Amino acid sequence: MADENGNGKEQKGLTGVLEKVKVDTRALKDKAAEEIKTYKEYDRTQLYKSVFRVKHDETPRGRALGILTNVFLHLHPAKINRDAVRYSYTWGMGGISFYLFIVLTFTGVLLMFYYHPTKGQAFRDIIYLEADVPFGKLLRNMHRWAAHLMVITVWLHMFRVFLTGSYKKPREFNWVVGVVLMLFTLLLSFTGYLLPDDQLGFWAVTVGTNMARATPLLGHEGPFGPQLGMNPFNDVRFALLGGSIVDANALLRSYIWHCIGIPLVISLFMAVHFWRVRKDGGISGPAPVMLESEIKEIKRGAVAAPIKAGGR
Amino acid sequence: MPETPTLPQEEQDPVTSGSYSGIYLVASVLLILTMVWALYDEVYGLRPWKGYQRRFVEVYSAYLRKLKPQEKGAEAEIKKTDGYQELDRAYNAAETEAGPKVKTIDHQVNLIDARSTALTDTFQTARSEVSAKIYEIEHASPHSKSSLERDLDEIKKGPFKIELPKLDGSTDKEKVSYTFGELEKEFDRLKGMKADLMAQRVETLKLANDLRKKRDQYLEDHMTGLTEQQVSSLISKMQNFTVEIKQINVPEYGIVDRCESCHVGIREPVVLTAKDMGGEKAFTSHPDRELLKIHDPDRFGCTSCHNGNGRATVSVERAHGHYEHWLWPMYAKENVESGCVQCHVSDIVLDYADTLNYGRKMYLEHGCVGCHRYEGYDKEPEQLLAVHQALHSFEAQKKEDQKQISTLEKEADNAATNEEARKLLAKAQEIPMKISQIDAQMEQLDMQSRSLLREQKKVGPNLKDVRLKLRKEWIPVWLEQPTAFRPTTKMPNFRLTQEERQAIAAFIWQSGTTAPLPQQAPGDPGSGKDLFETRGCLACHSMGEGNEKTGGTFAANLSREGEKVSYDYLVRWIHNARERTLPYCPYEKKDITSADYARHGLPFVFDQDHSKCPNDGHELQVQQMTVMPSLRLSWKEAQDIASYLMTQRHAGVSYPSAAFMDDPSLKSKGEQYVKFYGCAGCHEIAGLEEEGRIGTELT
Amino acid sequence: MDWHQIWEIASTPDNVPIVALLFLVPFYTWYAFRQARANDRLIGELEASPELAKSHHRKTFPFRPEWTREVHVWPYLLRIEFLAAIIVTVILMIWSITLNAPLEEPANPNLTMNPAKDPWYFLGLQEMLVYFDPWMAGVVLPSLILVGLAAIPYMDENPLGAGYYTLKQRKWAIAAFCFGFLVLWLTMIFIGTFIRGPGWMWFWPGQTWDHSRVVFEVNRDLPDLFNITGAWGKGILGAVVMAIYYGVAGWLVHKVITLNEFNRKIYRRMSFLQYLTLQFFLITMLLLPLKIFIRHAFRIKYIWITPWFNI
Repeated sequence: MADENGNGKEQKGLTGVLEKVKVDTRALKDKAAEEIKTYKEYDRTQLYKSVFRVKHDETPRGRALGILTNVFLHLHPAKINRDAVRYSYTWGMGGISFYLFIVLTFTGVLLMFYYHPTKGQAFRDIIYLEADVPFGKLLRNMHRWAAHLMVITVWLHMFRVFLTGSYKKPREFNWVVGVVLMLFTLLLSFTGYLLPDDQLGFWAVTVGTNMARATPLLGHEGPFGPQLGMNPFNDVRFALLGGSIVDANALLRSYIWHCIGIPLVISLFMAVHFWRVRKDGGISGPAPVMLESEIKEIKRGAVAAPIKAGGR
Repeated sequence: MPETPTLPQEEQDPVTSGSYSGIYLVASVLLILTMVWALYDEVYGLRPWKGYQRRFVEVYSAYLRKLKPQEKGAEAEIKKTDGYQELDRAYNAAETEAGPKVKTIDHQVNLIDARSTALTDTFQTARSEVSAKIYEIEHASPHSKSSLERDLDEIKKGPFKIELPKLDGSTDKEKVSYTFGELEKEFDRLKGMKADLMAQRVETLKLANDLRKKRDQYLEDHMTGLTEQQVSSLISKMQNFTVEIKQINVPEYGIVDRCESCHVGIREPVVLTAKDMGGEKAFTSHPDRELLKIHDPDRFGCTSCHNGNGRATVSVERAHGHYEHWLWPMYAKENVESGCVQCHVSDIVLDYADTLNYGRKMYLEHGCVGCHRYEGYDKEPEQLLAVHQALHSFEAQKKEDQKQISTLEKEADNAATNEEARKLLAKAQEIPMKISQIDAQMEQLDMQSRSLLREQKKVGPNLKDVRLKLRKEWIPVWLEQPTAFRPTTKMPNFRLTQEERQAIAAFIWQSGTTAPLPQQAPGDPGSGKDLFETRGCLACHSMGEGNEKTGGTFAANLSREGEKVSYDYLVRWIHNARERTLPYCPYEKKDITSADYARHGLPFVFDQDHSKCPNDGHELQVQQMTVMPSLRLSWKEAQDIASYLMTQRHAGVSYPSAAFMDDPSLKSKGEQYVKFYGCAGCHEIAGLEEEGRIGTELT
Repeated sequence: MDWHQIWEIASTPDNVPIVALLFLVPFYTWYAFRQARANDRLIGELEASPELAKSHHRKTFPFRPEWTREVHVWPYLLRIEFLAAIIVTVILMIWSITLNAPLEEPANPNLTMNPAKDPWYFLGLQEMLVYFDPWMAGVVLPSLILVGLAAIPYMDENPLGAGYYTLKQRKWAIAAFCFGFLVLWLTMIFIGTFIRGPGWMWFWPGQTWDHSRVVFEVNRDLPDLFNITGAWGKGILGAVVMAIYYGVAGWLVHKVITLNEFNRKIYRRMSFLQYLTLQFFLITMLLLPLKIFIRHAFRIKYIWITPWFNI
């Protein structure tokens, strides 16, 4: 029986191995099925939880956290006054201006890949963008029209803020920041105007910068300018253009102001602007109407109490 | 969250209960549609050239396929000719003769190749190992060199065991064991053998190859179109055609021309017409292939000659530069030779540019340059002006210097010390040297003005001579409508009112010179006619009107000359057209009379050898500013011709009296009109010799 | 009536935003004033009835006590913002596909465009150049506009209307701002775009832009009207006139500031510095329309002429 035994043992060994393989495979399959079931609850996976640190379900807590824990959305508070969602109050112009700024940055960066800020190349690059670059015409047009639209929305935003008195205490400083932002928007538009290096841009910038030579004290044609030693080669217009004529240097400076200088500054001011909106109490309204009889008399001569030594 | 009972409609919070799904659906659909639209616009709308190229492949392939049997037919015709047959026979004979030898050589080469292939791998591996070792040895320090060299010897010893096929063609292989040296030697031997055999092969086939080339050249020379093979290769080119931007890029000049993206067939070796290409005009061939050989488009681009916007591919208008802000629109077909002028500015006659040449000829023949300056035509007036301005300033300078001498001398006389006097006198003595330098420069200017005055020509005749030359009553009739008298005249119709005409005629008449003209004896019209027709007058002048007109177009038609001129003047003119009544001094801006000569005790002689003004010594205009040459006629011949010409007149034409032409009150008015209409641009007129051209410069 | 000329101007790609402005600004102004009127009606009701004033929720929008006073930003605000982004994108894309951004001839310093115009948002300043010298129109006045805008919150002592539209409670502030923004700024832009043609000449809508048109627009200065020719005379006359203007205008502004009881109440709340600042900006703002008027009515260009500057 040694043979049999031997065989049997071998056979058993073989079947044993096969059995083991079958059992192991089944166990593996079950484990896999279990695992797949857990993936259906995608918001319990490690991957999901590492990205979204809190639960985003339809509870008040979930909704609030959705805003508060999101770096992009935490610009907003978790809750706002019920009437502030009405379009008839804010017109959405501030948000639309910001959205247009993002569109402009995006299209602008894409345009930068195809543009050389030199005298010979700039004009031809625009033709290239219009004719050959895939979606070049769309990019250029979107950039230009978004810029014009942004100027319009910024003005409408200013108009709305004034009409709703949303510059009054405590929002005075934010209004000032807004005025500065408007100035930078116009300057961004203006510096971008020269970049195609065509007759339209060239003469617009010539007219614009020629006004600079009339700056009092600092321009060579302004009141008291020549008396202070200003001439066409050292006055404020020269500083703007990098020369005494609108030429290659002016183009390069325009490009740098337009793509880097002013966007950096305007982003800083935007950050302050949004920060102050929140800190000053969020969207100003619509606020409950106040009657004339409810005006509080301010105490004339009241001055902030001096800080005592020892602090308090 | 427990379900909150829903309140009735009016009581629900409008902010939280409204659904935005509807409007979102609309907005999202709109957004997607817009993006699809943008995509479509980008891929198709802005890229019409894709459609053009696909269409071209379609149409051109069809054309080629149609062409192929035609060319094949033509080829077959030529192949039937004796010339071809002879060459073909010779080629075939040579090939058959060489055949067996080539076969043997090929067979042998194959065997060598087989052996070589079997050898190569081993050899190359061994060689690389050896080379590496040699490198090591060369860069080794002295004490390790010897051991490395021993290693090298080991490698070289091998042995390298290979199985090589034999060179005698037998199927069994030879087992060899080589050292590296032997391996290398065998490799080189095989290489050498093959080289020799290949050389032999070429030699053997040389005759056949030459004869084949000759035969094929015969075919090519006799074929007007392409050969069948060329057509086939074009068809396969179309099958492998990729739709993409075709552009010519010449970086040095910033030329980027994408014209061939739509004009795909413009440089195809076949001549394509719009009819061949299914009516599509964009696919026709470039005319004047020879022109393209001289102006290779790959170096010149297309826009250098045709203008337009080479870079634009978005639409036909943009590519052709026919939109608002493009400053260099493509030339219309009939004006395409304007493009030549961009480089060939000063060529009077240009090959392949017939329209341009004709235009330039017309500009000259019609005397446009009398009123309109054009760079390259008639530069004498401006140059003479400059020369005389310089002369005037030099003369003024000389006068100044002369005055200086006398003042210095006077100062020297009144000087306080001898020292000072000597200094002043020394200064005074330097001045004559300056003056003589100025004199030298003026002499040079005089020489310049001399040749300029000789070259200077006016488009129209000299009006200072009108009193001597013309019949008085004829002038107002001519002024009213020149073409009524002489249809082929260059002079434009100024549409003068009667008042203007009379004033101008009066002024011209009264400003004419009255110097005496020698009387001429009458001549013989018959022989005059013969002379006129044989001496070359008809090369420039024409005679006869309408269908009967013969002669040249350059100069005046003389059919009615008898009504117009005085006989004496005509004789003088024909004898020597350049002969002038009085010389003109451009320095003083007036005519010099015999009195001026007499005053300086000089004889009243003025010609090329006596061209200096008696008053100031500068050059005179001593000839009529006409292009008509002197034909070296004798006085008798001139009289005969003049007599003949005087017989040429219309019968029964009456000229009304023109007494107003002597009215002095009209003279100044007339001068104003003459200045206004710019007559002095084409004619020499007394007092207005320095007037400029009245029209705009057309350069 | 050259309709084609009007179409030419309006359809120039860079003028399309102004055409858009022509529709957007009146629309939003009406939109705001509609809301303001509703609020003013509410204010009237509340002022009439003190009990209502105590119990009303003080807004024109409906409110029930069961409703929450505050709503979650997610989703109620965010969905509106997202929708706005989509709509703005759609508008922008349609605009970009259909209308090409302008690209004119390559820049050529030797060939001036006629007219050479600033970008449209600066056309107001360029139009001012007609009436003032560059240093004034291009540097001083724009700076004053910006500083003036920034100073608005600090000059405004009226606590009413903070956070809601109203006309009744902020009559003069709104009037002054609308005058400055709509009448002066936007109208100047409109003039610069549609009215000013070649040579910066005045072309009514419908008149063809003719480059060779010649107009009689010889101007004189104020001193010329009084036959004063000496430099001292001109300087003194100008200074006197400016002083008179500031005095008269200041008196008029003061009249407005103290017009009714409410105004006087606000006036009493203002500090001296606020009052002076307000006076300065209002008077200087009125300088522009005044200059425009005397220019068009009397052909007077400069009032004050000194060797260093002219106003």
